[in-house]
Amino acid sequence: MEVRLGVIEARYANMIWEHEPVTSSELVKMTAFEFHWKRTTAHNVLRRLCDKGLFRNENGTVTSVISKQEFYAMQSRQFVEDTFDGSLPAFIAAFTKNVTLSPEEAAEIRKIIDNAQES
Amino acid sequence: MDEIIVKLLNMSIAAGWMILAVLLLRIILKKAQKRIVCILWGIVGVRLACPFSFGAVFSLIPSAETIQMSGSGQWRGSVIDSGISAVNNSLNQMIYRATADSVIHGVNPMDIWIRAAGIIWLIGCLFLLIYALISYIRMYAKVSEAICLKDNIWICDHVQAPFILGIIRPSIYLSSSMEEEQIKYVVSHEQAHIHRRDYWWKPLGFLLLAVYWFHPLIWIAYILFCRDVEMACDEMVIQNFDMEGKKAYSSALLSCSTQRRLTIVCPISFGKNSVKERIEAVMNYKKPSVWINRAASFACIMIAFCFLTNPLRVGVMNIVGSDGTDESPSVFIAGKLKNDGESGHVNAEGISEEEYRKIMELEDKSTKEKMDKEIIKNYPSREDIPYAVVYDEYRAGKWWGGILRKTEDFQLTGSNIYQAAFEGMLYERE
Repeated sequence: MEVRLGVIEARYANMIWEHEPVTSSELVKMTAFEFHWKRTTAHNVLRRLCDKGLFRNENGTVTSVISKQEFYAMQSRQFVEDTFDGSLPAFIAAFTKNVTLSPEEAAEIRKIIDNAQES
Repeated sequence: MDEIIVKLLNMSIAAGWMILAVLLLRIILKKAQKRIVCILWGIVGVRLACPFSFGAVFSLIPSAETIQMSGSGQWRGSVIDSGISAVNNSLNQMIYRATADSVIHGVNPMDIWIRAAGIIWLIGCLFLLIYALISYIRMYAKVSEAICLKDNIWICDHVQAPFILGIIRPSIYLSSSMEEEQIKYVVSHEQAHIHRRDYWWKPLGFLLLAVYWFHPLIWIAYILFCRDVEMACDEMVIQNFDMEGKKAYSSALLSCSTQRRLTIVCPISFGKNSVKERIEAVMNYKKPSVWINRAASFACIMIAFCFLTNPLRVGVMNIVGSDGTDESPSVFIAGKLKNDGESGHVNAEGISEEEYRKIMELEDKSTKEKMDKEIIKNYPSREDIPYAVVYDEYRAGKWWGGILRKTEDFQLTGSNIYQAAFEGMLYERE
């Protein structure tokens, strides 16, 4: 599922993930403070985020359908899909091209690979 | 209403001459500061916006009243005086031939044409204004989701090309996905717009475009004006940049332009018009010499003097009319010919007996000052001699016109020339 979030929508989504569960009226107050948004704007963008499948608004209470972690993981997979033709090694090669991994990072990655390989 | 459309037509034709001159100057002054070229367009705007002017000897406008309406307030008849005789003659003859029949029978087709033109104009004008209004409303809706970056700079998800919105306290809107590097260049450019008050001039220009939409030169003027405004802002930003800076600016220009959609209208935008031209101007920019700038300023003053003023020449018309009340039809016969040796002018066609009688019926109702007149005119053959002629002349500070009926004719002995004498009453023309 391909979901694109604009920069501002992402900030709003982060705000909801941070504070969930939260009422829509609280969201209105928060966005008014941070973004200087009108009530209608906050509701419009919220509705759009719900339509994109990230959150749900039940009787004025907003909760997440997909967690922040999962969402960004999905975005990353989508990115690798789009940019590296789904090849994870290619992605990692590009990522580490001019970067040297610290011993801790290398160990952590090795552990992840082992875990992923087990299943 | 009729008067408005005729006035607009005349103003636009006068401005058209000015625009041609400015187009020429623009090419000559390519190397001058773009800021000064924008002033030229401003002067064009003044000509278009201002219905008043005064006559001056140095005016370069051929005619300020190309389409003539005579008679105070009441529609009497019209004639073309574009300031160029050849054009006048052919157009007036055409109009005469096309309308004389109907006019004699009491209906002036020009009235209908002008009325129709007025309605079409109004529709076009409203269409453009409504289009602009809708564009503005959509822009405002879009930026409701914007977040303030700093001061009056906002970022927004749904914005592609950057623009400025607001008439009193304008704000700059950028795309939320714009790269850090480019933001400072784009912001400088938009701030140049704000500094120059372009958020006033461009909408005003569009307003003039909405009024004068029927004149193609006005569209050309507006498009070039927009381009010149963008380049003037580019200049303001890069004038002290080194090559590196210019390259960075150009690439910011380029990436903004690839995101643009086509909105002709109001919001001032960074990457809108002819990006290639702008990048070339930026990369090839050299500080203009003092002399070319002085020449450009001088050109502005000259344009103002020569084109904001009206010509002194009085339009020459042959108009014969009764003192029009609403019932009696206006009669007009138009045309200007070479002088026949008299101080007046005779219409080439002459008029037939039937036309003469009709006009005589109307003329008797006239209560204007009148005087007797007799003239002699030459013709190549007896058949060419008309029953009567339309005649007018300028005498004692006033124009006099009337119909003179043939009283006698004879062939000059030993030649192919026929002379005819015409006599009748001339009436003071308004």
